[in-house]
Amino acid sequence: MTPIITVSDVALEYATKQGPVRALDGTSAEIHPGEIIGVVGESGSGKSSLGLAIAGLLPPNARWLSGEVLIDGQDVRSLDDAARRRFRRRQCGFIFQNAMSALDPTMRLHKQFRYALNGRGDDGSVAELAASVGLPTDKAVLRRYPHELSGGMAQRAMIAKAIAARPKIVVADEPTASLDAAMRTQVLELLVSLRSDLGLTCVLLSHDLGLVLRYCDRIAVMYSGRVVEYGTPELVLSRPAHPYTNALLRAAPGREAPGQRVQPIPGMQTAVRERSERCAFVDRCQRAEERCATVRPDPRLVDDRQVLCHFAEQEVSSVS
Amino acid sequence: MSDGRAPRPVADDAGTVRLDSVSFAYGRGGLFARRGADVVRDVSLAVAKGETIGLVGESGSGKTTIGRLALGVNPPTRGQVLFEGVPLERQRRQLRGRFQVVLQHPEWSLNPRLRVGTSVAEPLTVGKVGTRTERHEKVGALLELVGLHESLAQRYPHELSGGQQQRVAIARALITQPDFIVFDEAVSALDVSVQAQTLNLIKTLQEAEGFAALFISHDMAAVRYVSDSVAVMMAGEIVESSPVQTFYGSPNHPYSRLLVDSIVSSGESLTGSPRGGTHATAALGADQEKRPLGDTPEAGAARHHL
Amino acid sequence: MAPRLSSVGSIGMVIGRRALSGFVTLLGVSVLIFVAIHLTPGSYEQVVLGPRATPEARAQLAVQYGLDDPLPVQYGKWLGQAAQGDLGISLITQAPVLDEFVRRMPVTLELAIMALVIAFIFGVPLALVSGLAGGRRAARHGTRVVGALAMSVPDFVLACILVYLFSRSQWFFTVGDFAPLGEDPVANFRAMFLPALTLSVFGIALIARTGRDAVQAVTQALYVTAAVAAGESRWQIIRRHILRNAAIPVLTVTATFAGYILGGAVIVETLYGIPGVGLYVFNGISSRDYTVVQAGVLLAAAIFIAINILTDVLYGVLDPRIGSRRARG
Repeated sequence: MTPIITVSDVALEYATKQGPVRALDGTSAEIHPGEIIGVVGESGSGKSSLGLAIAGLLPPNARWLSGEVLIDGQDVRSLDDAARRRFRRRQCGFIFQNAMSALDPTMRLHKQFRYALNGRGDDGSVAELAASVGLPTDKAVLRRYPHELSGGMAQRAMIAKAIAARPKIVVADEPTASLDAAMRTQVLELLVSLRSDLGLTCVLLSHDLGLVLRYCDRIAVMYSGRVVEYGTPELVLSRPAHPYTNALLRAAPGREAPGQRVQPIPGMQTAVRERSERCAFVDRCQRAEERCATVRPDPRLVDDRQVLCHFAEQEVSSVS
Repeated sequence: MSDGRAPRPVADDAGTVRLDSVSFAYGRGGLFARRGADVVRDVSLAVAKGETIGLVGESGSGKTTIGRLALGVNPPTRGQVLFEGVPLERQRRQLRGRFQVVLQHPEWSLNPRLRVGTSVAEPLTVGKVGTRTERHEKVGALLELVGLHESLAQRYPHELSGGQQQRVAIARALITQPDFIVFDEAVSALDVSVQAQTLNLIKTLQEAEGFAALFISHDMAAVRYVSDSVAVMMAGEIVESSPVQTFYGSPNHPYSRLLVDSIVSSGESLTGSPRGGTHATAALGADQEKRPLGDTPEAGAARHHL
Repeated sequence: MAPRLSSVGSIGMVIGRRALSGFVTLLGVSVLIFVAIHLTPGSYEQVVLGPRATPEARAQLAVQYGLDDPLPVQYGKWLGQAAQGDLGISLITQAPVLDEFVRRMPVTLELAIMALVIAFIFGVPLALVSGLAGGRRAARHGTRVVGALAMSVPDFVLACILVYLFSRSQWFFTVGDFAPLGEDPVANFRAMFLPALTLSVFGIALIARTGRDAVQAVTQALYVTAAVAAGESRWQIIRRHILRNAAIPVLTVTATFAGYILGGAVIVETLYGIPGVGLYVFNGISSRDYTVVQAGVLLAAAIFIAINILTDVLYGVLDPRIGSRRARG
């Protein structure tokens, strides 16, 4: 199977007042059609940048340093303005975290849907679109303004807009972070069902490991602009091969036994300014040796997943 | 205490904040003021000295209102809020500085134009407690207590990381040696590892200082981690209130079970998972809100695509 | 979630409520003017009969006009007449004040509308261009300097300059050759353009500046980012999202500007010799024609209140969040 999204060794930086900040430092990933891939990482890990790069939405202060993102074999960067707009309109939907503010507050829902259907939508197709995301199809609801929707409904409306033009890819940036547990489940199950109905490929940016485990086919753990571990969530989260994945699991509450303490990751993630010639995690890693500080690890296949660590074998075997 | 319903102050009540059948509705104001629907309905809750009660529930379920009622910010429409057996409104003056709150965004409680040290000392300065030097020493001691270097007192909030800011906010809340602290989504905006530090800090400080705490969050995993017992709210009512062990096992109320299910606990296997098929699971629900898009360098970018 | 109320019903209620409170305000204003005018030195009798009139003549006049009644009684009478549409008789011309207002109103209205239109024609594109230019420094500073200049030049200074330039030259626009719109539209336009332009300069600056800030704020809104992500083109985004959302703050300053026109019309009509309400009131002030001044102020207050009600209604139309909040509250 050929991948629908190929991210190969992408490095990019943002020009800021304090000088360039590297958001992606050699990020690679292949995503196959119909997959839901969960990208996890803390702020500064580069997961948002990866999402924006795939969706062709990078801000103008972003500077592409190397690598490429191929969607269906086509380099997103090579598109001219009109082609890029066409790509955004037809091929790639984007779901924002805060649906309520991503919907125009002065426009009724049905009109927003109509525009999302590229203006061709009649009442029937608008209702059909609403139904496809589980929104009520009666006129009274579709005539509402965004502020008259609940958080869950707003997120469904956002998803409806993103899939209206039947894109092949949807990038969802923390689509459920502002929702409560019940809504979260509903929205994610909607995404899963859309995947099988429409054959969507979904890139889900999230910090929630439990959610990724439950709903994603593959997980990409990012740290300091690199994908440090990439594989099925069952494997990666039960037997991490990268010390960072392991540290993340130990830091998050949820798995601990009563009375047991979670373990913060020592140190802080530091901003990268140029291509790092060492392991990204070396300063905070308990397993770090001299080699980690001098040799940048290459992606390797260890225990059925891709990992960026010189000592991945030891890490895997240390977890019983 | 003439109505005979209010509990008499007893030794057990030392340091205890008690909500006694409390209801609350927002008034509409005006001459023919109509009351809105109850935001909180007939809630009873006691937070004892040295104990943390976790309060979970979906957004809009009334969690934050409970916090405000417990702090005495809003008076209840019906029922009473008592501290050590005495209604709050009868001891307003004595309680100054003894109740504190830590909010989701530290920037809400830290003045961006004041040095961190000044902000931390503020509750003392306002209450005219101690001399300048004493206050200064106290700030240093507290920053150290929350794991920050004393020299940070000279910095401004924007020079600190989000986690450091939240520690400062906690130090500020602790400086009056309060009897009761409300943590309202206090770790929700933090990254996993900073969240872990902060949660541990809260646990450690409580063991040392012995304050009563109300920990409000929509994050079941975090609530379960810090709390001694957990109250689950739904539509303004507490639908389950149990010792935390119950939430490591299986809680009674269906909504509580849904919440616990949202934390995928280790070793369990998920049958009939939405992805189809069965697979072994091991993991967790680190469930914290990312900051709004506007805060990241890549944010808001798209305007320039116009 | 608020069930949608019928928007007609809710807007009707808002207008009703605002009109009621406006009426009370108007009543208050009328008391204030009445008292203020009776406290100013120089009485009716002096104005009408001159300083050398005999006491008998004065007394006779006082009885004729009811000036010997206590002030509250006088006010009551005046109010009763005003309620019936009788605003009194000009002390100088002895013509009914209301008739004069009605006759002159269209001219002032035309002037105000022209000023508003000019302000929008120039202000809105300026706002859009500078707002969308965003970070570009030249555009940013350019609009700021021009805006500050335009807002700080008093209209009488501008009027004087324009009057000076155009009264000495033969450039299309004229000064002082007013012709009614109904008789000679072209001559009317030639005479009205300069005064309207003078009035509009403040509005152009106000709209451009507020609009620019509003456009900048809206372009940074997440829904605009979402529109970009949905592949909408630049013009689609401006048309569908930016114009309407940015219009909300612009509407606020437009109401301010309309109030400004009200006052500015007095000066501008006088300087350009436009026979509108403003000129009439100005003459009333300079000749101590109290009935005219009194009626003029009352009229200005009424118009101002009406503008505010209209603005409120437009808010509800433009920003659905306000509409429903009102209907609920």
